[in-house]
Formats: sequence, structure tokens, C-alpha cells
Amino acid sequence: MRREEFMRQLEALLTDISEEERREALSYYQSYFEDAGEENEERILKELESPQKVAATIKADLGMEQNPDNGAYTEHGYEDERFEQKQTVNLKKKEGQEQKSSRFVYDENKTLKIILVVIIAVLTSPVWGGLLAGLFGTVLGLTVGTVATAGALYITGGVLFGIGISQFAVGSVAIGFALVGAAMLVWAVALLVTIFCVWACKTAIPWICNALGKLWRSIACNIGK
Amino acid sequence: MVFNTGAALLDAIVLAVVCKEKEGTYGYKITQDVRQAIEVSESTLYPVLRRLQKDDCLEVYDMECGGRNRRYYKITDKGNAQLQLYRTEWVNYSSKITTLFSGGELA
Repeated sequence: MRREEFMRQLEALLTDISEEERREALSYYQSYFEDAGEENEERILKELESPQKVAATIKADLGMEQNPDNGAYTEHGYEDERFEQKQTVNLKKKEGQEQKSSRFVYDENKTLKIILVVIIAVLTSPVWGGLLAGLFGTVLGLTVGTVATAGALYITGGVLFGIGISQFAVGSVAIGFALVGAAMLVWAVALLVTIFCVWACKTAIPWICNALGKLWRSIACNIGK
Repeated sequence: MVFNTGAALLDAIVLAVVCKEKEGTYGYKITQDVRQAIEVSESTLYPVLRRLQKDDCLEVYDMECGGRNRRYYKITDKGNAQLQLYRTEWVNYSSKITTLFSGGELA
């Protein structure tokens, strides 16, 4: 087939797409041949295979192909099994079947493993249950303790400040200054504890949760193997 | 080539090839350049180029060359951004597969 014949057939095959799309595609292939030069014409015609295949490629991308399951993008372009030789198609089907059956065996193995792991987990629950409860208790204790400490420090600071102020009025000014100073120091410590609490909530706890999640995933992954 | 090149990877390869030419490049040359990396047939790239053009990743302009009009493709800002995304994803993807193939452990 000559290039002119190829273009003529392609144009005829593209009559059912929009005027703009047809013009775009035809001018692309027209200049493709021109840029390639006459010496490459035969090779390109051979590689394009047929106007039918080129038209199918263009229409497939426009969402015009009636059955999109017929083909897929590959490094050889848009490949359609209908254009392949019968033998290749048969070979592909066989490969698919083998893959399916081996996957089934693998799934069965996996289910067995998961059941086994659940049984082991239940049997050993007194051990890791205790550990988990201990860990939870420790974290809870630390959290409540820290918050309570911060609260107590704020209150102490408040009381010292109040007594200090009243000393200015009724007692000695020196004691008043000393008490107010002490109140400031206590508040400073309370603020530090508060900052630590905020940091723990924002950074440390998510980090620990993340680490635990990773640990769990790696365990699950190893079971999967 | 035993591995199929999916639509996204094909888009990425075409964007990378067009991106190299500051003044733009044309269909036949793009196909030849892509072929240095992967095997593609002559009919593969038209739909890809057309789609990238519709997605505003490529812009086209016609320029006279040897007494006829030649259509040039040039990458847009959006195309550049898309290519950058593909590059990052590719490094991520390929390094994981390489690690897996060489028997290493994934982090």
C-alpha cells in the first residue's frame, strides 16, 4: 500500500469522529510521513500495519471504542487482541489460567496462617494482655501525674502571690517581695510543665502511635510471607 | 521488552522528551526520541500527544518549514508541573522495585 492510499483509507475510516479530531489526526500523519522522508515510507507503512488499526487507536482514545476491553496501551502502542494472531491469544489465555490457579493456592495458605496466628494470640493473651495493660497504666499515670503537677504548681504560685500582695499592705515589704518572687518562679516551672504537656500531646504521642502501627504492619507483613 | 508501558508512564516519557526542546519539537522527532528509551510503534504517540494537548500539558503551534506547515509541540507550565510529579513518583517507585529485586528490605 502506498502512502496516499493509506491516508485515503484512514480518512474514510474517521468519518464518524468530529471534524476537528479528523483534521488533527490526518494532518499529524500527513506531516509524520513528510518528516520521515520517502526513504522511511515503506518501514512506517509496515509498522502502522493498517489504516484500520490506526483509526482504532485514535477512536479508542476519544472514548469511541465500543468495547474498551479489547485493547490496552503497551510499548507497542495501543494493542488490540483482535489484531493479534490467534496463537498469541491462546498463549495469553493459558498464562492467565495458570496465574489464577497458583494465586488460589497462595490464598488458601494465607488463610490457614491467619487462623493459626489468631489461635496463638488467644492462647498467649494472659502474657501480652498484662503487658499491654501495664503499658497503658503507665502512660495514663504519667499523663495524669504531669497534668496534676502543673495544676498544683499554678495554685501554689497563686497562693504565694496572694500572701505576698497582702504582706505589702499589712506586713513587711521585704517578705512581700520575697513571696511574689517565689510565686513567679513557681509559675515559671508550671509553664515549663505545660509546654512539655503540649509537646507530648502534639509530637510524642502521635510518634508512639506511629511506631506501634509500623511494628504491627511489619508483624502482619511477616505473617503474610 | 517484557514490561508493558502504562498510559501514565508513556505520558511522562513524552513530556520528558518534549521538555528537552526549548523551542518545541514535532511528532516524527518525538517518536524517534522516545524510541531511544522504549520500543513504541509509529501509531502509539498520536493519541498521547493529543490527550496531553487537551489536558493543557502541551501547546501546539504551526511553523513553516521547507514550504509546508509543521506542527510543533511545546511543554506548558502545567506540563512541567505534571512532569515534576511523574519524576518524583518514578524515583519512589523504581527505587522500591530495585530494592525488592536485589533482595533488600523495604523500610
